Amino acid sequence: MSTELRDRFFALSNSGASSDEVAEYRAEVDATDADPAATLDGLALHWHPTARFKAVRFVDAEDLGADVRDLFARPSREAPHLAAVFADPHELSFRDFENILPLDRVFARSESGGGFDLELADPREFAPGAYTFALRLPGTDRERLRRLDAMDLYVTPLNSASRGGERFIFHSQLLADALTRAVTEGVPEPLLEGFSHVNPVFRCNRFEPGDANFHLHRDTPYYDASREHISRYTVLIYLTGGTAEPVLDLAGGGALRRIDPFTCVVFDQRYQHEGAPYLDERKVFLRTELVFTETGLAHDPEIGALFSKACYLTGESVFAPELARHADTYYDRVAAAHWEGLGTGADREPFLHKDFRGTHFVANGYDFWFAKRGGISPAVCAAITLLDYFNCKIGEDSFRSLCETEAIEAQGTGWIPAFLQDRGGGTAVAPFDKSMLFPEPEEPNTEDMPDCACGICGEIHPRFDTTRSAGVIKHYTDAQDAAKAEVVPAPIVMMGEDVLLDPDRFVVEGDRIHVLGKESPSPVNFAACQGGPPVTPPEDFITTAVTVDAAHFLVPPILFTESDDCYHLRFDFFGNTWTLKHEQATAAVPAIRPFTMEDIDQDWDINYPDWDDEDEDLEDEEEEEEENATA
Amino acid sequence: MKITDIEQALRERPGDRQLWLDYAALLEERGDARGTLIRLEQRRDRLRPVDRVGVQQEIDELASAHRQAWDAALPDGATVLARRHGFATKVAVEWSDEDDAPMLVDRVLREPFVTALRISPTEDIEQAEVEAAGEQAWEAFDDGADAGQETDAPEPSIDPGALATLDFSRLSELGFPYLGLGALGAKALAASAFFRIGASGTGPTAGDTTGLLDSLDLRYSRIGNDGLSALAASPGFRGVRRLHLQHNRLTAKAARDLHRFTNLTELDLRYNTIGEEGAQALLAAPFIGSLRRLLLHRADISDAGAKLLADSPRLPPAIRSYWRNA
Repeated sequence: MSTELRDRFFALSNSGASSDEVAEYRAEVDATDADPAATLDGLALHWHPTARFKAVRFVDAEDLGADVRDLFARPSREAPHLAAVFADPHELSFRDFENILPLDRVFARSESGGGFDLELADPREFAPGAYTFALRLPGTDRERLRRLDAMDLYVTPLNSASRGGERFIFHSQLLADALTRAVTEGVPEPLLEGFSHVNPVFRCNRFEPGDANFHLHRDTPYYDASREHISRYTVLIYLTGGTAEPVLDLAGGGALRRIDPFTCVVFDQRYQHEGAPYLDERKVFLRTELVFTETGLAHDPEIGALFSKACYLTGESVFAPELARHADTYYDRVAAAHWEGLGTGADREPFLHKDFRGTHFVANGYDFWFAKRGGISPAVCAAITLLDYFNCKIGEDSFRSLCETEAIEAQGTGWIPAFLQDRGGGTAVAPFDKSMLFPEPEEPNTEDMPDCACGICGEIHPRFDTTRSAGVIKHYTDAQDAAKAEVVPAPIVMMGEDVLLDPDRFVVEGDRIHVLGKESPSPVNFAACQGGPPVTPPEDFITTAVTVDAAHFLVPPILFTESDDCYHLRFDFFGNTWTLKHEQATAAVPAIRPFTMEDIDQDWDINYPDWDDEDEDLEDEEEEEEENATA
Repeated sequence: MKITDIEQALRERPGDRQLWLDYAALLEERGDARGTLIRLEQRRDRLRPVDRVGVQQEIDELASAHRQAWDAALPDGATVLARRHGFATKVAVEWSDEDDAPMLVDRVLREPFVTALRISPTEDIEQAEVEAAGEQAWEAFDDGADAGQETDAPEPSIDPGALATLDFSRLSELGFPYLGLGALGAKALAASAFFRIGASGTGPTAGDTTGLLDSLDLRYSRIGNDGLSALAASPGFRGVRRLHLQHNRLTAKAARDLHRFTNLTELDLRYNTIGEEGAQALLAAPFIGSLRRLLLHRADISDAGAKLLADSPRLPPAIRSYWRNA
C-alpha cells in the first residue's frame, strides 16, 4: 500500500495525469497517517507522502539510516545518490526552506572528469547593464546541462503562489568554476571591476507553455558579510530556446522576445524583471549570480530587519498562504534597498498574534512583543522568540504548529500593548534546574563488577549494590558526561512536550539578552570475565531516567526594551558580523538500575556444561602440583 | 569584645566585612598570618578581575607558606574540604576506632569556623560491611527469602552512644554518608540535638528552638523509618532545607514523617522503595511546592506513583515535567 503510494507520487508527477487522478491521489494521501520513518537534521521524514509529510525533498541517501534507506525512492536515474523524502512543511524553518542538491557527483561521472569547458561569446548589450552572450560549449557539456531537466528533481517552492513553473536548487562548484573562467574572459571589462566568482548555487527553473508568469520582482542579492562579497549581476543560462511575450522583460530597460538555446543573459540586479513561458516549448533556464568583493559597504539595520521579517513570513505562509504575498513584497523591498536605500513601505503591515499554551505574543519576524503579565521574564520572552523563529521541535510537533495563530494587518505598532493586555500572559516555559538530571554518583565500595558469580570472586550476592560498584559508576559517569555535553549548555530543553529553560543561559545586560551558546563537547570515553556463571556487565545497569531534547543556539544578542506593560524584543539574525547556527540534539539522562538475581545466568549449568570438568581439571592440577612439591 | 565572641559572631554573620577586619587586627597582634590573609582577600574582592593577579599571587604565596601551621590544630585523619580566610570551614573525618572517633570529631568541632562536617567510614569498615551484607544476603537467599528485600532491622555499625556525646548544634551542614548509623544512631543524634538546642536556644533567632542545620546527608546510613521519624521529631534537624536520604530502607511511612521537614527545597530519596503510597504522601507534604530538586527513580515509587507525580498540580512545573517524561 505504502510503496504504491510512494511510486504513484512519482508516476503522477511525471505524466500528464488528469485532475481527477490527482484529486483521488491527494484524498488518499490525506487519509494516510504514519509515524516518521527517519529524522535528518531534526526534520522528521517519511518515504511516502502522508497527511502530515507532504513536502517532497531530495537528500543524500547515505544520510538516511541503513535500516530504512531502501524504503525511500531514488526517482532520478541521473542522480541515484539522491533519495526522495517527504517532510512536514510545518516543521520547515528558514534553515531548510531551500533544498540545495549537491550535483557535482553527477557531473564528475562524465568522460571529461567533471569540469566544463565554457565560453561566453558575441556579447550584445540589450539594455544598460544587461547583456546577452552565446554560451559555447562542447557537445558533451551541452548534453550534461540538458540532462538537468531530465533529472526530475523539481520541487514546489514555498512561494509557488506568486510564481509559476517548477524549480530545484543545486550546488555545483564544477559548473561555477567554468562559468567564472568564461565570465572573466568573455564579459566586457567595465562589468568586472571587483569580480570574484560565480555563485555555485544554481536554480534550475522549468516552465511549460501556459504556466503562470514569474511575476515582476527583483532578485535578492547574494551577501557574505565575512568575505565582503555581494552579487551585482544576475546570470541566466537558457538551456532551451523559444519565443515568449516576452522571454525576459527588464522593467524600464529592454526585453527579449526570442531566445536561442544556450544563451547566457547577464543583467544588473537593480532591474525589476519578469518572464513568461515560451509559447510552444518548454522553457528551462539556470539562474545564479556574479559575486563581487565590495569593501566599505554601508549598513542599514532596517534592511536586516525587513529581511528577517520576509524570511519569517515565508515560513508562516505554510499556515497562512496569504502571507506569501507580504513576504515577496518584503524581499523585493530588501533587494531594492540594497541599491537605492530603504523606501517607504505600505501603511499597513502584517503581524502574527500567537498563543503558545496561554502565553500570547505578537511578532512580525523581527519584533516580538509580550505583555508583562503572569510573572513572565525577559528570559522566557527570549526563549519563546527563539523557539518561534527557529520553529523548534517540541515533542513530535513544531513550535509553530503548537501555536494558535492569527494574522493581523495593522498600521504601526502602537496598538500592540493594549491588544496584549487583554490576553493571557502566563509562562508556558518553566525555569528548570538541570542539575536535577545529573545527581552526583555515589562513592564506590566495591571494585569493578566481578567477571562471574563464583565463590572466589565472591562479591556478587543477591543484594549487590550496583549504585556503589566502581565499574557501574564509571559507566554511569561516562553516560552522564555524554548527556551533560548536550544538555548542560542548552538554554532550552524539551522533555516530551514540555519546554523548560535554563535561566543561567540567558544573560540580560542593559538592553541586550545574551543567549549563551554551546561549547565544544568534551570527548566522551567508554570502557569495556571468567569462571562461574556470567554476570551482567556493568554498562547494562545503566538505564535511561528521562530523554531530553536540547536546543542549542548560536545567535547574536537579542535587543530588548521594556515599557510599563510590555517587553519588546528585536532580533537581527542576519546581522553582518554573526554566523548563525541552531541545532537540536537528544540526550538520554542515565540512571543506575538495581541488581537482581536475573543478572546471574540461571541456566549456567546448561549453557556451560563443561564447567564441572574444568573445575575438576583445576583440582587435579592443584593436587598434582602439591604432590610434586611434596616429592 | 573577646576573640571567642568575635568568632561566634562571624560564624553567624560570615559576610560581615568590618567584623572580619576587626578580627584580622586581633590575629595580627598575635602574629597569626591569617590576619594579613583576611586583609589581602578583602582587597582582592574589591579589585576588577583584571587587576587581581598580583594580589592573588601574594595570597597564594602566603597560604602556601602557612597552611600546614594553620591546620596543625586539626587532628590526624581530618581533611579540610573548604576554607575561609585560611580557616577550615568544612572538614571531612573518617570514623575509625570507636574509642578515638568521638574525640577526633570533638576536636574538629572546636575549630572556630567549622560549620560543615562530613563523617564517613574508613575503607576497612566499609569492606567489612560489604562482606557481611553479602553473607547475610546469601543466607537469606538460601532460606528462600526475597533476595532483593532487606528485611533485617537496620542495625548500626557504630556505637550510637558515642554519637550522642557530640555537639553538632553550631553546624549548618552535617553528613554521615555511608556510615551505618542505623535507627539507633539516628535516634541518638535526634535526642542529643533535642537536649542541646533546647538548652541553648541556638536557633537562627533568639529563643528559636529550631537548629541551624541547613543540609543533612544521611545517604546509605541504614536509618530506616524509625530513624527518620526520630530525626523529623527533633528540633535540631527539622529546619533542614537539603536532605539526602538515598538507600535508607525507607517506606511510605517515612514519606509521611518527612512532612515535619517543612523547609525542604532539595530531597534525594532514591533507592528507597516508598511506592505509590509514598508518592502520595510526598504530594501531601507542606514543602512539595517549594522543591527545586526531587530525586527519585521510577522503581522507587512504581509506575502508579510516577503517574501521580506527573499529574499533580502541587509539584513545581519543572519537576512535574520530569515525571511526565521519566
